[in-house]
Amino acid sequence: MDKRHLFQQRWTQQWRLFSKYLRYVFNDHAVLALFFLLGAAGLAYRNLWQHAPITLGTKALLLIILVITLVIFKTPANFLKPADPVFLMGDETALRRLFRTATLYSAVINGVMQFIMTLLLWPMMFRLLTPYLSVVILVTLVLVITKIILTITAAKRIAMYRQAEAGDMIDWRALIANEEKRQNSILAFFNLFIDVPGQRPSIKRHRWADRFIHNWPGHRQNPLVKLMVTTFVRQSQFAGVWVRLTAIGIVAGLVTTGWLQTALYAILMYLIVLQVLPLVASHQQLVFDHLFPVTIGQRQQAFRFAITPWLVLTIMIWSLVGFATTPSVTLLLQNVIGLVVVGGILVFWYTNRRIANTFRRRNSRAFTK
Amino acid sequence: MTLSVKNLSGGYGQLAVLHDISFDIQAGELLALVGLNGSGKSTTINHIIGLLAPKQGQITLNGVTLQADPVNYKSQIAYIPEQPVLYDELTLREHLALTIDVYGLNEETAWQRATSLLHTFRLDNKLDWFPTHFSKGMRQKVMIVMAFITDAPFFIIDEPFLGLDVIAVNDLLTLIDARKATGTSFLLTTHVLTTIENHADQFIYLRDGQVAAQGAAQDFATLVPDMQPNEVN
Repeated sequence: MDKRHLFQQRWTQQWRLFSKYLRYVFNDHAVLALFFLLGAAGLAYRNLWQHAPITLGTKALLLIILVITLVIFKTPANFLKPADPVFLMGDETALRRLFRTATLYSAVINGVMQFIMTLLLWPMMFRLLTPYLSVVILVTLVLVITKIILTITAAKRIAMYRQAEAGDMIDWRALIANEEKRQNSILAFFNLFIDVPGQRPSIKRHRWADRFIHNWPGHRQNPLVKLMVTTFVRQSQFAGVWVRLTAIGIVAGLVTTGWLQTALYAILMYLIVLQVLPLVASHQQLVFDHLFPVTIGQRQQAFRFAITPWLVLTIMIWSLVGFATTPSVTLLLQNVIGLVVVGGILVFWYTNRRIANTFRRRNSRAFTK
Repeated sequence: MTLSVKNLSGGYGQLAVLHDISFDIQAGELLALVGLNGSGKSTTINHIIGLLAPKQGQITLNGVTLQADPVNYKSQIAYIPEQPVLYDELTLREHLALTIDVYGLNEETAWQRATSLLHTFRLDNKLDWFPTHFSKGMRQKVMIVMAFITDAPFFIIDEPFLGLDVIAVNDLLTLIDARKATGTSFLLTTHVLTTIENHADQFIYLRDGQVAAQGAAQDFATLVPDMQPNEVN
């Protein structure tokens, strides 16, 4: 380890790891679905841009959105490791240099992100706020510079002790904890697609959900149902996927109609099932997952029981949103029937096959390891 | 007969760890698998529970092999691993409920048994705790409670005394003796036979993945004179 080039080494190390996992993320039908979604979003944005009324209300809304983009913020990276203060404390200069370079790097990344977000809003700014390019560029510059300053301030706030007597001492423990949290949030995303070693999900009980968990359909028939539903609710990554994609569906339902709406709903439903599917194998690192006397059929059934109510709820929400946007009984029926068929295929055929393959592969690997 | 291991050879990938190991455990017997670090104790267990496949040999549990009938085979095993592993998202109460469901136990009887075990291991006021709140020793106690509420006829306990306080060690030994009396068999690995020599019936001493000595537990000191307490500790 060359302590003069710590940033370069850590940055390369991190991206080597991320690129390994990114291959799994972008190695499925998810990519096709993503392209389709982006296309649909682009189309919806174009419609919105053409038909947005030029009123004080829409102008104020755009300004609020511009301010909100400043809050969309990547936690500053510092690339510190828990062992660093122990091994490198003899020469704190190297650690301070790493912290400074990483902060600058985070500021640039956040600045670029801010620029892209603002650039996407340029068409709306031209339509609603001003016809002058120079004004739009000025607003963009102000936002980008503000984001850079915010990033540097946030990094310093984490690093510095609150007490005045501490001078310019750096709180390495706080920085390391922050870096672990940042890395974990990225790895948690990858963990939805591939098993990331050592990744510990964040757990929250949500007491209000206990009653639902203990009365979940099928829990008496299959001992794994309650385990899967509990994991779904308490591990933020699974419940988060459902909430996020259902919310995206609501937005999609507000700006689309007809077959495009039904197709978008179907793709989003596929993404929900695809990303919640790792729930079935989420405990495979525990020896009990191998030892429990359950069949692959029981695992398939448990997943069906666990996911179906969530999908039913999603279908109800999206269909109602679609009906509220376009009050047409035909569209309502089209959405309900279409989504029930797609959901049925996903739950009774697609996931069954994937679960069977996963566990057969795991068993055969165990026997040749 | 409960467990029969015949001419077992195996290991990890190309790395051969175990060489031609054979032993039987009868109903109501406790066999202690003794050896130094790296002697093959945990590898033997991994083969028995099916995490590793034998390169040669056969393992049967009450006449059933894992390959022929995995569900029946696994339902006969209660396992307490060396490193306590629990579901992060389940409370202690939910761990017990899951074990009761998965092993198809009678709820009333199992909960009565659980209540008594929880009291014994001083966990009865921690039913709503999550594993992150437990110390290593407490996690180990949870594993013990989960194993002992089952009706499994065969227990595998890997290094049970690491991380347990003295009272818990004694409580565990009492539990083992009580279950042995009902015909339950035990395979227990340890570095330190002295703790269980009054409870074990047989021993196998592994060295470099081979059976270096085996016999009745009381003959251990005679049969394995080179394994002195100072070497073990």
